Amino acid sequence: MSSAYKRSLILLPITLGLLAFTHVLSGKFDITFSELVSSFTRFDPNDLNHVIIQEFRVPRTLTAILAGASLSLAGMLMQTLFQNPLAGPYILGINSGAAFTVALGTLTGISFFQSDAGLLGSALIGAFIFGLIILTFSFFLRNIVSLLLIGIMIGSFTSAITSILLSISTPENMKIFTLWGLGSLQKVESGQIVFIFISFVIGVLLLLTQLKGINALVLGENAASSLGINLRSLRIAMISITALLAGMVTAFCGPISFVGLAIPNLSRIIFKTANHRKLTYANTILGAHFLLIADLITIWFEPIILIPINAITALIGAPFIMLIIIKKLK
Amino acid sequence: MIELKNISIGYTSTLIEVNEMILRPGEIKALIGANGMGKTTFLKTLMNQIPPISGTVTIDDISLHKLDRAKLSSLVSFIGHGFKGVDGLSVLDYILLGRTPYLDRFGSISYVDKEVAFEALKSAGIKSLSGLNTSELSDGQLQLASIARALAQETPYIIMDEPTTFLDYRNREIIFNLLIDLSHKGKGILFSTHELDMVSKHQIPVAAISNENKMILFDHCPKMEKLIEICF
Repeated sequence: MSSAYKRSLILLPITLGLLAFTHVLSGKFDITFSELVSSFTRFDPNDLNHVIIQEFRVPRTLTAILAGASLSLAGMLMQTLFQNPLAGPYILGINSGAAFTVALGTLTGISFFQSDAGLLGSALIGAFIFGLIILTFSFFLRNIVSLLLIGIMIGSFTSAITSILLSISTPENMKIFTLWGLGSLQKVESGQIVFIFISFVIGVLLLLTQLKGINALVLGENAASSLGINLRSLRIAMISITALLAGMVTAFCGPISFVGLAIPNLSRIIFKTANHRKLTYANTILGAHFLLIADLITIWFEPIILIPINAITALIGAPFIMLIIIKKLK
Repeated sequence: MIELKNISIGYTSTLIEVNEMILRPGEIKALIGANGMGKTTFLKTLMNQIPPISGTVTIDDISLHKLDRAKLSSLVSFIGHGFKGVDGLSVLDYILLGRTPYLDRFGSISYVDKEVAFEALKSAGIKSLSGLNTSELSDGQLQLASIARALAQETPYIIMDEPTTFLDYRNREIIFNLLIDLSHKGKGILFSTHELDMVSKHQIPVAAISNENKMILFDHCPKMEKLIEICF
């Protein structure tokens, strides 16, 4: 088992690298490997392919990697916090919380909220507030199924308000928001990647500082408490990190479903561990794989039809989750 | 020592009144009482999960409400019931979680932690189980693993909520013998139980919650008939 883990430490980064290369080189315009290299070594702003690589391809690849990793880690935290494999930032309403505040911001038409910082800020606040709401419910709803249903209801409720807001906004703002709501990895510009990257790094560093508590939480709240863990601060830390990771991705890519739900389960199945140090690695790398593959599929279909990334993640993710439910709850 | 003096225990109304009760390292006590008389509430009070209605609990002369959770976890370990194992959590990793109070915030496990965990595995007699998945263990094995986890926590006191529920005769024997053995090795052990026959067979001192909501202590296990009359 542990030697399998060590092998994965070498193997998975290699496959991720290969996938990332394939991803960068895939698309409407044929780009060669040497052009990719030269766009980095001696960038020529008059060379169309160089511009495509630097302005579109590389940001999109990096976004897929960072967003996949972030959403998976957020899902891992939610599943451990709520001790349920069916928890995730999307299903608990955290993503729709972020969507809601982003909508509020965008639809006001105030330009600050349409800037990067404004978008990021409103998504983070939304994710955090809705994380706290579901956490509050979790204190008096011990039944996890009820909690998940509450999450779904909160999601529907906020979407309803969001759609009302949409109907009273200008067609221009409506279009911005609708496109955002479909979820996409290709709208992220190279400047925004820095935001996503920094949030990801901060999120992971904060996560590492909570590993002791998160590992103990696997045994349940009472046991963790008897092992000296301060549950209140652990819960708030886990919600905050989830809000940062999921909120940041949602801000720039729109709400992307199923990654945060499916990948933490896949990580536990493949790595057969409850140690969150290993699971952090597993979710980071498998999440990146998953979103790269999902996005590659949309790229391959682009000449025929434009498929939103959410359709692919759901087409792969939903049957997988159904399998897990059937296996676990039969 | 864990000391309770003139304490009433319960959530809003008093469930149990304790005049005086002391648990020293090296002592073992069985907590006996009818269903709903407050055994679990009593144990939760000792774990500082709920405050007593009046009076204080002291552990090694420090009153319980002044102990922070981290300090308490290096003095008292707690084994609740109902742990069914976790998918992907190996027995060794489970026991290593007992080292939580001594780890840094990153949860880094040192060589010493591993040594202590292996020692705990040996003491609980489950060395051969170390690589197994906790979700694959039998109830008896799970209970032994939980005791090993508490041993890895290296606390002078261990508190257990019904450690032998759901166990067959042989496993109950194993657990009782292990607990007595651990008390001989210096651990202070308090466990709630319904196994009057086992308690009386092994002559374990008893703390009984009476029908009148009083804690009655027996340094020598009384006759079963008497216990039944007091408690049930």
